[in-house]
Amino acid sequence: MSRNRNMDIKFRNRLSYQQAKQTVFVAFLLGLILGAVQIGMDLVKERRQMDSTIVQIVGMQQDSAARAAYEIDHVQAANVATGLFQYHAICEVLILDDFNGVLASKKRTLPESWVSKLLELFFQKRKSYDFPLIMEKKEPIGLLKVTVDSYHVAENFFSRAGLILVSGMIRNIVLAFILTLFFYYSLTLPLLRMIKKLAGTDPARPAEEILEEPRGHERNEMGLLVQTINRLLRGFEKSLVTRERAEKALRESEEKYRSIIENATEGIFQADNRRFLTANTALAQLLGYDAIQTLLDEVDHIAKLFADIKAAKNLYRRLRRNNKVANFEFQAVRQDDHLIDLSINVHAVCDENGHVKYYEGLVEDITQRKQAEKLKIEKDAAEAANTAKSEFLANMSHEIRTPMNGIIGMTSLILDSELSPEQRSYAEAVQISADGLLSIINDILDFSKIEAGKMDFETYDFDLRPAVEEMSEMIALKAFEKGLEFACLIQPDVPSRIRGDAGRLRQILTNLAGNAVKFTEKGDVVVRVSLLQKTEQSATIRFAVSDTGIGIPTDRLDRLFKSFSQIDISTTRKYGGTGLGLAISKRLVEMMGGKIGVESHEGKGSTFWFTLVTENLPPDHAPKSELPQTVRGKRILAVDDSAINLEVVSSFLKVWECEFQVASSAKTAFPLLSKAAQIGNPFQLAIIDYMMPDIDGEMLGRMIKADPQLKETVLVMLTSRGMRGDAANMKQIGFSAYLTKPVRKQQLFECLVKALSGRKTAIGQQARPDLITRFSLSRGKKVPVRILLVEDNEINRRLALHMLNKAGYPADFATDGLEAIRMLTGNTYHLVLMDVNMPEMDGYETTRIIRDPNSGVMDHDIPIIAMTAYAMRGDRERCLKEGMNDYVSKPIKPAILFDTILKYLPDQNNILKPSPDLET
Amino acid sequence: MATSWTATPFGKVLKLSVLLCMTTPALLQAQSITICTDRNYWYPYTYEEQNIAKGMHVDIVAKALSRLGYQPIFTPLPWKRCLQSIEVGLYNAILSASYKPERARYIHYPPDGGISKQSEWRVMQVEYVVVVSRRDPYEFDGNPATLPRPVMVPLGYSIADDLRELGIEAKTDPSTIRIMKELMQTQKGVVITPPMNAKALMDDPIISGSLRINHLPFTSKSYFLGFSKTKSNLNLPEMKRIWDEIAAVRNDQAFMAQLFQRYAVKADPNDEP
Repeated sequence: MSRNRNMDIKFRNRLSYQQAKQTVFVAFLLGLILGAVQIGMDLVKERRQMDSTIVQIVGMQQDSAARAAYEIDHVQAANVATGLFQYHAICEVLILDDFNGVLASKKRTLPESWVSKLLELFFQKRKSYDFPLIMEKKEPIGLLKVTVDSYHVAENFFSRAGLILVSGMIRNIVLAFILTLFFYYSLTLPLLRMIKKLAGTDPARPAEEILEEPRGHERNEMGLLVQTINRLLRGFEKSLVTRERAEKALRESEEKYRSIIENATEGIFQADNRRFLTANTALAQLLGYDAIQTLLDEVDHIAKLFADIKAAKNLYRRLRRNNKVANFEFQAVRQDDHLIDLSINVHAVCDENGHVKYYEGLVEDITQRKQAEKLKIEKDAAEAANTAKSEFLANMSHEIRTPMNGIIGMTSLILDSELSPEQRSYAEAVQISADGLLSIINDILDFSKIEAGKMDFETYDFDLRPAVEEMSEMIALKAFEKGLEFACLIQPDVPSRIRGDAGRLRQILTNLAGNAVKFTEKGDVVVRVSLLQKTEQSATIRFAVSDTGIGIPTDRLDRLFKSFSQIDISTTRKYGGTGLGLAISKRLVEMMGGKIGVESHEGKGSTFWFTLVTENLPPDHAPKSELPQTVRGKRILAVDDSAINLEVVSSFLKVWECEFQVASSAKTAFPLLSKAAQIGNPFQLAIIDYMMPDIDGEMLGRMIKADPQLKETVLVMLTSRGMRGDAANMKQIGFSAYLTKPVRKQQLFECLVKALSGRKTAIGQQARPDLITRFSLSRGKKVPVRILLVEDNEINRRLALHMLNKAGYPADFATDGLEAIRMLTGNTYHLVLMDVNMPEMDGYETTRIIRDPNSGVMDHDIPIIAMTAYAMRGDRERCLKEGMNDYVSKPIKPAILFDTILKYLPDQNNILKPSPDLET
Repeated sequence: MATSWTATPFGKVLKLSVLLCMTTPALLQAQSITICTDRNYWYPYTYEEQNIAKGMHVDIVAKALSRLGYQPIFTPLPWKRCLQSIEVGLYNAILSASYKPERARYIHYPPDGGISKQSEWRVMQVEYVVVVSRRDPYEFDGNPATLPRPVMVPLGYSIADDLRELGIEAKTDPSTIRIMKELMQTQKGVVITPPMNAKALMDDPIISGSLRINHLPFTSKSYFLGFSKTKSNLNLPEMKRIWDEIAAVRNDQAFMAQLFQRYAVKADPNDEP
């Protein structure tokens, strides 16, 4: 009943009525003010309008009135007055001449009404206007007086004002009614429903009766109010539930706590100053007691558990001072007299007066941790010593490299000069020793870096084929010196461009191939590169180095890749070396994500292989050249007793779409050539190996040139011998080209293009063109250039200048960075060879200034090649980061230096284009 | 016995010198007379061209005054303004005013101005003739009441007032040729105008042959040079001497012959073609 009484709200007290009343009142007040403003503005406007109208009307008649005054024409003046009376507001017109004579006078009376009385409040009832009459802009000749009765103006004004007020009143009444209804349905009714619902809510389960948001009020204050009430209701219920749960959890927690204490691995106790009051099983076990009670009974003073009584005193003292001790470590004596390392956390439990009631704490067995810490300290010390050793080796290696550069370079220069056999022998011994020493230093350096964890890898895109071929060329020299065949076979499907560290790849290959040559006395060494697997994202490439050497016993294979390990001591004595090469290679391959392995048969030879996983790269952006017609479809015969060499050459010829055949000896080759010529389909070119049993390449060449049917055949000699004077001899016999093995694909391609082109022109114009050699091919790319060498070390400077001059590159030099900047400011150079470590201004700073567009250097984009004895991997990266284009490590190898230089010099050879498949 | 210093030879010379100084400018400078004239086109008697008073009356008065050593200053004004100006004394004289008793309150007329129908001291005697359509048989018999209506008069002519005094409403128009054309087209009513004016306009090729002039003039009036009673720098003998001289000029046959010849063919500038 009381609930219903509360909801029975009188109409005048209802929110809808109150809201509507206030709104209407405000609207009425505003309407009144705005209406008054509007009426006021209308009044001002009407007054102005009246003045303006009178001036306009009189203006139309003023000339006529002036003429009447001038003529003293009463008739015309009367006409003017009559004309002005057409405007109802004018109630009097008087026209006077300048003799004060009245020319016309007209009056009328307007009706009086309630408006007239109001009129005087807002307007002058009558308003007079005087207009002087002037003829031809001379003196006034009369006066026109017009009197206006404001009745007409005011009547319109009051009508409008009345309309505004009445319409405002009506609008407010209608608004009041509409708003009352609107507020009733939009406010009062939803609120009444909410109140009804809330009144029926069970206080014990408030969230059971969730309020519904009134329709249309979901996003306004009422919706928010409902949401807030609902949230509060839910909150109340949640609090109730939480409290119930908390009480339950507390009960469960107490049970769990008891269980935790009982089952904890840490010892937990309560104690007074002397004895344990309570303890868990773990503590009893830690201290060597069978049961808790035994512990409580037998330990009459806790201090007796401490192996060192001083530690006990220390703990008691700190506990008294702070009432709390954390992570206090000590050695305890178990019941069985064994020592144990413990860590204790203990605090005092006090009463409300601050007096200690008892102590409670936690004891942890840290014996194992303590032992581990001891071991770690020992290990860290050992590792630090090892790192220091590695760093020392790395630094020492750099210090050794600098003079080594001088030794190796100068020896190389000496060997290029005229020497007596004895002197040459000595110099070669020096060179071999220096190379050996350098190899050892390199191995030690790399091993040190690996051990020191400082081996870094660079990741960049590079061409695989030139990288492998460059390496092959270097190894091939050693192989040929030993009378071994050497070949490098890169399968055509191997991606040309890969991403990785070319330097490390070259290092591994060089090591494996170098070993192969070292341990092979006869036969051949072959480097094979093949595509093992290719997915959309990556390619797995297999590199294999096969030899026909001594092989490795099966039981020694597992020792191969270990540090300082060779097959046996006799091997070390016979072949030398540190035994680090394979270990380094294994670590490098594994660090690059690949695998390394060996297959070997003792006495037959070995195959060392490794794999490399690389990202698939898009093909080079350079446009793919068309295969020149000079090579495509040409009939070519390849003659070599080495099957692997024939395979290499065949793979090239196949790619170039030549029609080719192979012969394994001169005896089989000659009949093939003759037969082809007889049937009118002769071979246009023959690639002939020099060293063949029975009939060598030279003899075969002579036979071909002596045969009238075959003498037009273009001959290309491939040799691994490369003796002085051979080239001239071959030219004399009639060979068009003379290349040393292993021949690069691009090199052979250029050679064939040139040789076949020369053959055509030779018929009519040139009987004997120049012999094509590796030198002539590379010379074709060489252009007149000017190089600036920046080097502070005099020996190295002299060495480098000599190398450059000898290779046909004129060079100037600067002894430090400042001098280099000066020279680059006033002169034009094509390339800079930059030492990194220099006094005054180092190579990095010098490079930054050269690259700075605000510096005075003439060419800010000039290629800069770093030359440094720092061989750490990060050094190359830093050189490139500082703006240098490339990096050559010391000791400088002429071949590497000039290959690098050639990369950055303009190519003027417009005749020979790269082989198309080399670019893909 | 004391002798006045003015009787001394020096005094006599001084008095003579002062008299000479006082009289010489008056002797050297002619006395000017301001005269307002009717600016309405009352050809050939008075009219205005570019704000300059012209006409036979103006020439006669100018000749007479110059003979007497006066310098006339003519100002053309609307006729009523001219009369008002004389009344308040803005000008010395008015040209050409017929005699009317109410005007005589503020204008000096010659002695016979109000008595004789043809005054001895007039500037000129002006007749008004009755012009009718050639098809209209009406012939004026001296009785104004018989005049066919409407009676049309050029604006500003005093004959309009005379007609109103006779109870005849006169329709006035600033353009004489316009009322002549209206008469020609409507063939109703009459136009009353001076004969010289009528003849000149009837020679117009449009009107020629359409209208005719009644034999009996409607009226004949003397027109005078009247002097302001409010502001006159002349006394009555001087006025009389001027009126005498005007009569003398009017009687100068040679001068008048030239005058008639000069104004014989002048057309009304207000007339439409």
